[in-house]
Amino acid sequence: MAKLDSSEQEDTQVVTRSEREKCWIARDKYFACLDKNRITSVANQDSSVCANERSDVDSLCRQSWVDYFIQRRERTLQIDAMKRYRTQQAHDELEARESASREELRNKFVKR
Amino acid sequence: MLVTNKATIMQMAGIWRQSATLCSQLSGRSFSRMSTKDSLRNASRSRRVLFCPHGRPFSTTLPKFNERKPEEKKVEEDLDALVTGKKRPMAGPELTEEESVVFKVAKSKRRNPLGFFNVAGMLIFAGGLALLINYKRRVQRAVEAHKEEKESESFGKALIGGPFQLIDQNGGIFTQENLKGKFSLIYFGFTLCPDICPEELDKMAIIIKNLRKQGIDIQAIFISCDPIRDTPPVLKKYLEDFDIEGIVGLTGSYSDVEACCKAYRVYFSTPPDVTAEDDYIVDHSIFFYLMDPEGEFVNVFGRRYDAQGASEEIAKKIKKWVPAKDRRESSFQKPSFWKFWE
Repeated sequence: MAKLDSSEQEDTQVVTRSEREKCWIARDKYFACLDKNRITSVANQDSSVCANERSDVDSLCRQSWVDYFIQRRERTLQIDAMKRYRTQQAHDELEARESASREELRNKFVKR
Repeated sequence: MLVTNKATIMQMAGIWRQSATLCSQLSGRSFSRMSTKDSLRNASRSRRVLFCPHGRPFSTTLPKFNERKPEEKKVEEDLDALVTGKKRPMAGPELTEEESVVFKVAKSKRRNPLGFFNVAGMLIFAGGLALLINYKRRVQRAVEAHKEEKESESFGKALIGGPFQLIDQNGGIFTQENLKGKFSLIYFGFTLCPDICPEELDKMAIIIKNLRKQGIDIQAIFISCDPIRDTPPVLKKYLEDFDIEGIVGLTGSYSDVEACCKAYRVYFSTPPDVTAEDDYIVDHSIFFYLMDPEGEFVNVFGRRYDAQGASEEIAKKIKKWVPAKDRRESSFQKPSFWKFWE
């Protein structure tokens, strides 16, 4: 929804500070709802989930902003998941290597 | 000592024999028992008697012969002292004052527990060692600081910056010449930015305030990457929301803005063919650029700097800044060895 200033002036679209903040609050509420329902990707989901919050967001924020926020959230979640996965992998690898070396050391001292 | 009296000889022989017995008793060894003949022989050879047993000689009973001569008395006293433990066996004879001057006897001193060393010497040594270690540490620190300074120095033509021509929010022309005379902090963004540009501009407000409090003359410049939607009135209205005194908002034609962004190596994604009614987000690089009063680039600050960190860094750079004509290579200053407090 484009924000238009008073029609006497030129065709200016300026989002003031208060409007921005209202948009952000609605966005945070919407994202909290999505987190609660464990939704990462909004595009594939049923639009009935968190519909109220979504309508608030759509009314208070510009459409490009809404798309941008949703995309950014999805990207961030993906990156975090990837980071977690990678660290877990690294830990497992380290653990495996360490236990292998421990085994080796143990076998050295075991009298066969 | 010539002995003529037979009785005295007998007396002395007895003394000699008994002294031998006593000696053997004292030391635990058995000396060969001296025969009377030997004793007589020794006595007649007028040996000086060193040992004198305590008891009276068996052979004589007359008191006359039992008198001790002065020498013998002294010897007897010595033997008393020896037996009772007051005097050590191998101790030399007690010397009179005259004798001690003539025969210089070394006095036995108590051994110094430190031996060769003394406390004062050790303290001086420790102090010198501490001074040396402190000096080495200071030299290392100075070398590191100098290396850092050398790395951060910029020589030659700056890669960022250059000529540009834009319009400010009041419609006036603004070029790179307007950067001269004071420091500038430039931020590239656009007014319809969802959250990043407002956040960065608030950060900029804090930085500018901090620097102006320190008496630094710095101007804030906001250059729009979205010239099609960001006209001067739009910029003016937008910048009113931010508490930055004297902030300059710049825009212009698409080509002018493109040229400026290229000079500052700023990436932005606005295509040239959009219209003011289109709804889009501009992707752009997020940096603050610090320019000096000669219009040259000093440093860039990215998102990892918060307001406080950035203000400190900028203040540091400004304090170190010298105009180009006064600039010369920084030389390494060796710290003084003695001034350990520096």
